[in-house]
Amino acid sequence: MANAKNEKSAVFEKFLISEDITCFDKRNIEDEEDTVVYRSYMQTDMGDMPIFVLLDATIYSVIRVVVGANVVTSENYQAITDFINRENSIYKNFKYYVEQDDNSVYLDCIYISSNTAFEPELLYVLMNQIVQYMPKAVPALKEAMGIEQLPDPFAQHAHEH
Amino acid sequence: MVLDDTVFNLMRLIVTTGAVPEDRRQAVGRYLNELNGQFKIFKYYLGAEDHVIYMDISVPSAENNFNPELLVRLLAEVLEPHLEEFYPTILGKVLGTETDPAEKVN
Repeated sequence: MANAKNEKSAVFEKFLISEDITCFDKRNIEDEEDTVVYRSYMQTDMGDMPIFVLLDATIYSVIRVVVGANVVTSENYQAITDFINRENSIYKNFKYYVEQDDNSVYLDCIYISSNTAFEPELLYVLMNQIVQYMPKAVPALKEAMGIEQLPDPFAQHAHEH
Repeated sequence: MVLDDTVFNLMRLIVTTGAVPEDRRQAVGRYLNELNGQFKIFKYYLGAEDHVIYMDISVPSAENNFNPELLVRLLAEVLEPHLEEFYPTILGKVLGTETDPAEKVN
């Protein structure tokens, strides 16, 4: 049972309806922080990148892009971290990092607000900034990762019957 | 702290007073990446020109919802304890006094 209440999701969903935004799938995590995950995709020249919005009872709202699932190897790690460090030093409002557990590259944008001051319009503007930025980053990403196309981000979760 | 008429309020911490030595940059970069994955709101990076370690906290807010108390509390209740815990390790990585199993041992 959730100990705290996520009040941001209702506000976000009302905003999505009023703006006729239908690109998100929703999933309730049912954890202690009452987390709800909204998932969509960005289409890029190197493949689809899942984009998640994570809303919970804390002051942190997270926009998370799976830039490259399982793409990091010992050969490309240095090039990727050089790229990441350069972009992280240039762009104020988002952060790239490599998650060692799954050898993946992520991009996060954090929006801090109390439940009552949460503005879904601002969250959506931040997300659109990422969507507009990513095509410009793709050539350098391809070079750093050493690949032309991203692997299917959900391949490891696929079921075969 | 940088406040202007955009929605982006920025807190920038200069973590090291000088450049990270060249032979330490790879190990430091690896550790900064770990911290970036572990902590949502902190973004560590090496300056492209000066190779100093910086840490940014970006706090987007619309003008009518700007909350100075939130910023001050972030500094006092989140940033300060974080630095107390992790600054020694960061410094150790810079000076090469902190061992890392992933590093080669000569």
